[in-house]
Amino acid sequence: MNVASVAGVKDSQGGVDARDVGLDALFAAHYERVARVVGRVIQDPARAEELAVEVFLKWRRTPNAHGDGAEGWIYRTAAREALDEWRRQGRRERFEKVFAPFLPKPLNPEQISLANSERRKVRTVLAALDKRTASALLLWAEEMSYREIAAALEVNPTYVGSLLGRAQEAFRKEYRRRYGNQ
Amino acid sequence: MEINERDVWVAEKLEAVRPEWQPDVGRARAWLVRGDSARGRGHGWAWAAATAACLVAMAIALPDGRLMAQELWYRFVLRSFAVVRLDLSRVPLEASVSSNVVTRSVGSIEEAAQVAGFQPLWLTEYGPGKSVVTGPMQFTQVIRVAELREALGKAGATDVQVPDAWEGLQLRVDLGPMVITEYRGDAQVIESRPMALHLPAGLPLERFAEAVFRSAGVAAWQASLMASKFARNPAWLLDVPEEEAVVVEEVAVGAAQGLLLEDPKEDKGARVTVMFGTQERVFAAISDSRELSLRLARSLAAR
Repeated sequence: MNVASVAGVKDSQGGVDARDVGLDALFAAHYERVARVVGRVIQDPARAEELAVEVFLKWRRTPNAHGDGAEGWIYRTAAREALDEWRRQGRRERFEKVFAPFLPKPLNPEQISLANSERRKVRTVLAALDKRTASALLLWAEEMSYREIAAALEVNPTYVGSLLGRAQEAFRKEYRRRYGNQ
Repeated sequence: MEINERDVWVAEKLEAVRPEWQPDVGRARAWLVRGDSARGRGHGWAWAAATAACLVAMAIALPDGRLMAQELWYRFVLRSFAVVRLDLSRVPLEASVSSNVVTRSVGSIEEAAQVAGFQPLWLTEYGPGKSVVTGPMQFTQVIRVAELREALGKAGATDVQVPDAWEGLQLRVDLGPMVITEYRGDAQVIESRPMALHLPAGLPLERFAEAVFRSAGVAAWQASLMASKFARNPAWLLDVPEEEAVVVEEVAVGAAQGLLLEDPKEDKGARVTVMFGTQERVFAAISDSRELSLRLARSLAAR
């Protein structure tokens, strides 16, 4: 799909802003996978979906992202937004005791156990890596092709293999530094 | 995903975070059509309120038990801000918040004024503005002597005495309502009346503040200086742990002295907050740009 041909151009038939046509096509083709990329980092499904939608809206507001690289931009932004959100959540947790009455309901034992779960550890390690490394791993885990990963990370496709190798090593090292050989 | 032997361990770890839910495409499309972002559905205000809660929660002092029983309260009006490079979340104080937590979106400055109970400032030159108003919040903190002593012990501050009489004493802070307005360029302004810190008469504010700083790991001489300064001029005390790469600067905002906090993002840029107070209001101007945050703050101060 090439959204460049329609992005930013008025539709001659109905006067519809063609950016919306491009957005619609991009959304139809990629939303579910973008939501899953975000969902690997963000625990709350509703919040993950909100962020995923925000990525598409941000694309619409970013003319420089319109064109042949639109798909790559979407996935790159999705991974970064998710990692940023995870870090923000970490900072928020410091205030949760104070903020608890504002939460819809208190934490239950299951939620408390989740705090120490493997998922949390993996997310914490991803957030500790540099954003390009973490993004590479997220996209790789989502079974994206090397070509798609290259487009998202703006690197040559021939470079993706070694990039992923280094990313996996960085993940392994950071995980073991934090949690030992589990 | 291509998996070779070297990848298996990492692949298994990443499998643990595979979403177990299916995206709701219909709902997402509805949000998309409305152009409705996540920020517009309340997360922005929630974080702002949490930040405010942090500021408030750490502006603490200890009342004397007997005087508290007599309900002889002092009331401090806090209009200034201060930063300590500490993680005060380590201080074991039992915190709670009671609030009329209703948060309302408002469509006009008149409506914002009606809901908030004061006339907020809207900076129309930065866009139409989209506001929510939070209800008033009341923060209470309870001293638990055993926990405070334990924290002091862990910090090696065994010379600090925590009297038994401090047990169960409560501190109270009132904040809000707050008007939180989002502007063009991912900018946000938070406005409130000054916070009120309620303390019983005769409270050993300096002594307690010193105990708090010591339990957070501050050296004795430094904690004494910080506590003395805080007791002389209580302020909204924002804790920014040393390991966080936040730049803190004092800046001039009109006639007021403000604080600028620059919180770097991972790859580039920063989230910049400028906080300052006037006789009638306290403000926080937040954006991705130092220039914009300062401009917003100075525009507010000039009104």
